[in-house]
Amino acid sequence: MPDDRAVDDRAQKVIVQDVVIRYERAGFAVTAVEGLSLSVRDGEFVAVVGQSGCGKSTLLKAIDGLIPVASGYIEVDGRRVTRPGPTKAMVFQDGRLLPWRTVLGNIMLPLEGRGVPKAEAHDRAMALVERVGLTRFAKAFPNQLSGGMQQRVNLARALVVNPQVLLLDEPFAALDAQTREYMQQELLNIWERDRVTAVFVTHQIDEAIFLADRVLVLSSSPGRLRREFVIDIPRPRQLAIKRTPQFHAYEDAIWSEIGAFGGDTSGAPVQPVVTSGAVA
Amino acid sequence: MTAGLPAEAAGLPVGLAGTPSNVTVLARRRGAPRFTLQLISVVGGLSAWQLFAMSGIVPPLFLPKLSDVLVDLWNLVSTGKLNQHLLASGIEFGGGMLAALVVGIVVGIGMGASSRIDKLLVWWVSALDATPRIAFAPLLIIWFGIGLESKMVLVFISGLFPILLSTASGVRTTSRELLEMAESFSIPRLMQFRAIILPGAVPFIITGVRLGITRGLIGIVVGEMIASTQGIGWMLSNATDTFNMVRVFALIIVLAFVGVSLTTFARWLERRFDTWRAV
Repeated sequence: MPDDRAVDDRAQKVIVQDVVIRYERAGFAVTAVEGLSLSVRDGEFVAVVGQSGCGKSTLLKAIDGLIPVASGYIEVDGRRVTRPGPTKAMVFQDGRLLPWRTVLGNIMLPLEGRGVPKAEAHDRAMALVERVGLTRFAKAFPNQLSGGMQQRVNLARALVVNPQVLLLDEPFAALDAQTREYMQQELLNIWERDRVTAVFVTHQIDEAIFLADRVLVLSSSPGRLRREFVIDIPRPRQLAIKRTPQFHAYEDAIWSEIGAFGGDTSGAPVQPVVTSGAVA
Repeated sequence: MTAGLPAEAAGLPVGLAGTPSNVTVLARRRGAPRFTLQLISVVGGLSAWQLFAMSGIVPPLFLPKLSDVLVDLWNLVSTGKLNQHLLASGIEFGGGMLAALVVGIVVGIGMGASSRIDKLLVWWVSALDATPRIAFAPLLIIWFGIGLESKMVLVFISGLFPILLSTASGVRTTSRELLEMAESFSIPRLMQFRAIILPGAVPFIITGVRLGITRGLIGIVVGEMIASTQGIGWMLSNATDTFNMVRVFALIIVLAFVGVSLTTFARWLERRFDTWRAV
């Protein structure tokens, strides 16, 4: 099992150092993340897994600059993160598309926000529409799209700004198992072209292994870095690798890591891992 | 596309192109008998009116014959008399509603977006909204005279509050998730307003406009009945004073027609701005 820190001389793109994140819920101060340190190299695809409530989404929002850190610091591209900026782009779990704008209009939004001229914004957005395979639906409204297509728009809206770091917050969590697998493959195909640095938060272990170069396991309440797994599976990857013994070995290792502190003493997966879907 | 996956799994919509036409066909099929029923209802009701009035059970002063009313209506239209008064009422209504729209939307946005503005105005708005607008009519006539202006102001204050209050709640209910998304993409404040907050508030604003139109219509008729020199309300009170019941009924039919037209227009507006909400 490759589990060591790979020797890699690529630049550190994201650095999270001794970070503590607190927020208030119903008058109580909740510590979502405590003493968390991690780093992501340029062009690396990192997945963050952990149980619900381990603060993984909170961490992602902090990297984006949407929420402040109580102590420690976060650097993206060598600069301290204090607020959202043009180097980062987020793919949200729940779409967050503007229902009154078309697919194209939604993808143009971030460009308009940056004052890109209309014609240029249109062309760039259209290129992304094509890249995520929605050419026929450029003029459709979000409510006319399936969940999978909405998430393609969501992804295109993040990619259109050419981010240095792509942040993905459980983007496929609301999709059914088959669509999810299909979208995982689509995401990799799209990602392969630029290999933009990506941080992908998920609670699906198989999704994390399939997509990522490295899987970080967080412990829960408060979130700390529990362990990291280097996924030594060559790219480009196809869904078929999910059925290989190597893949299952990764799954078992990560599951037992989560089971070791998740209250499940049996060490067996707490829930079945979806790998049995129809895969070409 | 990965082979062996059904279209749904591929994230493609099911029958996107086919659905709308199917829906229309269904609606038409179900709509036909309903329209017949509506026709029967209208023709039957009007016939009953005519027959009851002809029977002589009630004196014509209480209920004139429909035929007499229609003749009078025709005379009003053909002599241009109705037109002239309708125009006067229309100017009052149009001017008042336009002002109510502009002020209602602007102040509504202010109150919805800023809690400071809201706190400054909320007492006045609530108190004025709760007061029957007709109570202001005598006052307005003293202030602005019996001409068009007093009625315009009455329409303005009648239509203003529904528009203002719905706009404010529309702005207030902007999705937090969408605003967080906008913040994540560093969308400037002004553009957040134009691209997210306002479009989200449009359905609310239009609902307010629809309510405002109805209230404005009441305002105009009552205002004109109290004191004026022209307009539909003035004709109505004139006809009542001279016991011209045929005229009273003719004018009520005109008002019903105007009311239905305006509400239909508001509904159309609602649908026009709401295409993205349609299934």
